[in-house]
Amino acid sequence: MIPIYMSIALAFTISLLGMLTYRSHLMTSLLCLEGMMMSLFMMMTLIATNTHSPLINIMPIILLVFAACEAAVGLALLISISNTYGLDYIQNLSLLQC
Amino acid sequence: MNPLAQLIIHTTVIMGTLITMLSSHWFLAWTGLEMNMLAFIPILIKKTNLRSTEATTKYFLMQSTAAMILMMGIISNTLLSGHWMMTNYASQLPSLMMTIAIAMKLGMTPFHFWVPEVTQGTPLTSGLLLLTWQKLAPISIMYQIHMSINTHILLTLSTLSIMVGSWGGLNQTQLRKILGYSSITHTGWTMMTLTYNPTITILYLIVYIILTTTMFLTLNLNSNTTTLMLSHTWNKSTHLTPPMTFTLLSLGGLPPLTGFLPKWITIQELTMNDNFLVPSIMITMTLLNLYFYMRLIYAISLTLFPTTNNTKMTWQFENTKPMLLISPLIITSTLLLPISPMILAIH
Repeated sequence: MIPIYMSIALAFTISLLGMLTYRSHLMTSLLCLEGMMMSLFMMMTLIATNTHSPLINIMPIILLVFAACEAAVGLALLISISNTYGLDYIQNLSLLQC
Repeated sequence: MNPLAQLIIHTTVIMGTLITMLSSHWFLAWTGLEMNMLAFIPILIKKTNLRSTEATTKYFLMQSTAAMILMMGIISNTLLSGHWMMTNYASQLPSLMMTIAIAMKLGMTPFHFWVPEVTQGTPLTSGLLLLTWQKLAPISIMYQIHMSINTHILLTLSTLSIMVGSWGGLNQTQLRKILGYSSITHTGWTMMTLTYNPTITILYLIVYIILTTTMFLTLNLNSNTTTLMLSHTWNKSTHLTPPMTFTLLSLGGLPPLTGFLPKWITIQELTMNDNFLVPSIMITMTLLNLYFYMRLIYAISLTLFPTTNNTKMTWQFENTKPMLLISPLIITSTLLLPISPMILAIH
């Protein structure tokens, strides 16, 4: 396996673990989501560079568009939670427990 | 919601699913899933109260993580195979990542924790879309790659889903949570035969969508969200009592009703492939599922809960909720078993 793909996959894995194991803030999860998206962007850019076909070059940009949209939606939800509770602590989201 | 905004949002949800279902390029399938998820969030948060916001946040976090893992699987698949087509022969690591990502999107165990909570926190019609329409796109992706999915992993996920869905629904009185756990169980049944005969997966999905739509629409007529509200059905809208009981029995999978058909075909397909332990576990666990449906039927028809209403029957007002599809859905969800020779002829 080519080392650069391995290192970016490692970055993805670390961001994924950071998304799944958060301590107190919701913002951490959103940041790790963005981290995952960025590592995927880098991998896709490498694929687009190494595949010498002009049609694939648009793919990283489309991925970036969806990253931005998801970040916006995530932040809007964070603000909506922060409006009622004042903070973005995860332990506040416990209304719907069984 | 503003009708124009509602039109755009619902159209985007439908378009997202259609893009995923009709694509053969991995990137386009992923784009459809993303469009679907992003446009579904406003539907979940239609009524701005605290529970809706919490449910929407949990849904968003789960689905976006799943989309990222799916994209990682797609990129790994591209690196290992050199092309972007959704074929039936992906390598092992990408196939595993895609299976896990789609299991997260569908709400299969061990990624099921969001389903009851999100179904509970949203209005009944949003919950309906969540449990029926949102399953179409991920299952269509699984259908296209079904030959490269590891059977053992899928059987494990499905069996655990059935167990968790049945045991989890036992302690609930909130109807949306019960329907959430029911969705987990039925998704387990749906994905069981994917690697053996994916046509049965589609059959189970169609019957499940019909049954769940019937349940949600009849619950929506009186805005029933708890068992206590269900117990007033004999009083408020007596005509709903038999259809609701029969639909619940059909969901549980009892023989002369439609819900038995996909379960029967699933068990037949599994035993034809010399797999006897797994269907036994499945059937035994689904009995628990039937138990909590029976408890709802008990509340609807067999007992009278304590109520403050003194009259035997209330004045029957005209119903203002949409009753358009309920009659054909009730008929389809209870009387469709005689078409089984047509299904068996597919073999």
